Amino acid sequence: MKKLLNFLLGYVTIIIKGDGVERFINFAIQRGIHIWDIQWKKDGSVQAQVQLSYIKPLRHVARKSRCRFKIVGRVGLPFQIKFIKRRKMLACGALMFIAVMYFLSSLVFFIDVTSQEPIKYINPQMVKRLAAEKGVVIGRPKWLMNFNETEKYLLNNIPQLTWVAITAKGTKVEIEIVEKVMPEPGEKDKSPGNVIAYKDGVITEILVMKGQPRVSPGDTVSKGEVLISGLVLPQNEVAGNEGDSFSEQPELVRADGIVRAKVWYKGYGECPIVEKEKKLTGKSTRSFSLLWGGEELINLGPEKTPYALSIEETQTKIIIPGRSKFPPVEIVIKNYREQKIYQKKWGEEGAWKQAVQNALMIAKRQLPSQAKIIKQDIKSIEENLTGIKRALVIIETEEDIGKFLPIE
Amino acid sequence: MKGNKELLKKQRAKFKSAFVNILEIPPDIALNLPRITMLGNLQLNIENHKGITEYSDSRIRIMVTRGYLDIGGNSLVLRSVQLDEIVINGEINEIKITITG
Repeated sequence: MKKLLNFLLGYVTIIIKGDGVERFINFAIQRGIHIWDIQWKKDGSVQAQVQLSYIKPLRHVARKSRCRFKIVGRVGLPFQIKFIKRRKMLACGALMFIAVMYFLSSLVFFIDVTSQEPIKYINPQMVKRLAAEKGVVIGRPKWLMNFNETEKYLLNNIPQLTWVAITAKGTKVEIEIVEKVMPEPGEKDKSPGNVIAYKDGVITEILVMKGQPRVSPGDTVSKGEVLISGLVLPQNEVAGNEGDSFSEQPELVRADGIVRAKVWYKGYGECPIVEKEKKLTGKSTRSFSLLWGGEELINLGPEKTPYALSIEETQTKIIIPGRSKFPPVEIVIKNYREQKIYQKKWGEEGAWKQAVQNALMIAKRQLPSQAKIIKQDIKSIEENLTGIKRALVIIETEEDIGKFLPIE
Repeated sequence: MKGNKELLKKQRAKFKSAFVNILEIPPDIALNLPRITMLGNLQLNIENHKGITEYSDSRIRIMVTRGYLDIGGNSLVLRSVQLDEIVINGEINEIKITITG
């Protein structure tokens, strides 16, 4: 605290010469002048520090004690202000630099269109173009942009858009979009068709809402087989009625119904008892390089990975797009992330558990959400491979295997 | 005559210390003695001093009430000098206190 005050008020380093340095100090004390860091120099003089405002009274002290003192160093805010006053342009330049930095940091240099899921229907370029119509353009300061309005504009003009959020992260503007989930084409229409099996299985239950069943419970069906036919043959013909048997034509309808069947899924998993795994350590190094026409102009950071084992990620950004005789300027950012090999000891039992878990996970990944698990079989595969545990899981489910397919 | 005065001074000091003992007044205040605090051999605080009479790299003499303090050492620096307190930094080897009465 005292140091800060001294700095604000300013202090000087003086060298006192003469015989009665002690007397000088005593007189100064009596006058209430605070002197500190009094030090002997090799040449017999004494160096001390004193506050700027005490220099004038110190002259009287020097005269009284028949010493001479000389100011050798100046520290503190008053001197810096003086320095700046003398060199106004330097201060101006510093201020200008800060102002320009501030201004540039408020400009937008990049606009990215991102989405959590892969973008299917919307063209990101179109989003950018529409955003540009509302003023979200590269090279424009952020404070002139109205993100809320732009969001509304985008939502109104792109029918496939459900949600949009525009956020500024530094000099980058991110347009995050969520697309509408479009219904699969052809589901709503009334065109005739069959219900076919999209999986192999054994039928347990069949419920027909429209159409004619072609299979009955207990049947084994394979993929692609027709379960409920959209081609309805006249009933009377089956009944054996004469007369109008020819008058009724086979009718084409859109078959609908639920066909439940037993389906089996296999999952295989293995786990070594001692697992060697590559893991990221969290350490990373970046290198930046500026490319112009394929030639490296500036390179900051290491060119090769500094780690023994690492992943390398390369990002390329074009800053200035190229023209006919002017190749593009791009920045290449390389990120090296260090990896290490870790040994994980599962143990006999642990490895087995892990193998079962892996197998279950693989088996369950194939299951549709509506499937009901009836039975689960876990088998161990014993082979003369030591140090590894293998598991085979068979899951039996009951599920709807019907799928609509239009008749051509 | 001079011897008589000295005797009187001594008696007065004796009386003063006895008085302080009875009334349990802190002696440093009542007797106007210096309060000396040391931090190992690195720092020395002297409160209630009466000025510096000698200062060099290896020897400092500080006046106190009815006596003086001799400090010996290497590269002694007067860290702060104020009306009531002196702080000495450096390698302090010896302190000799001479107080009469």
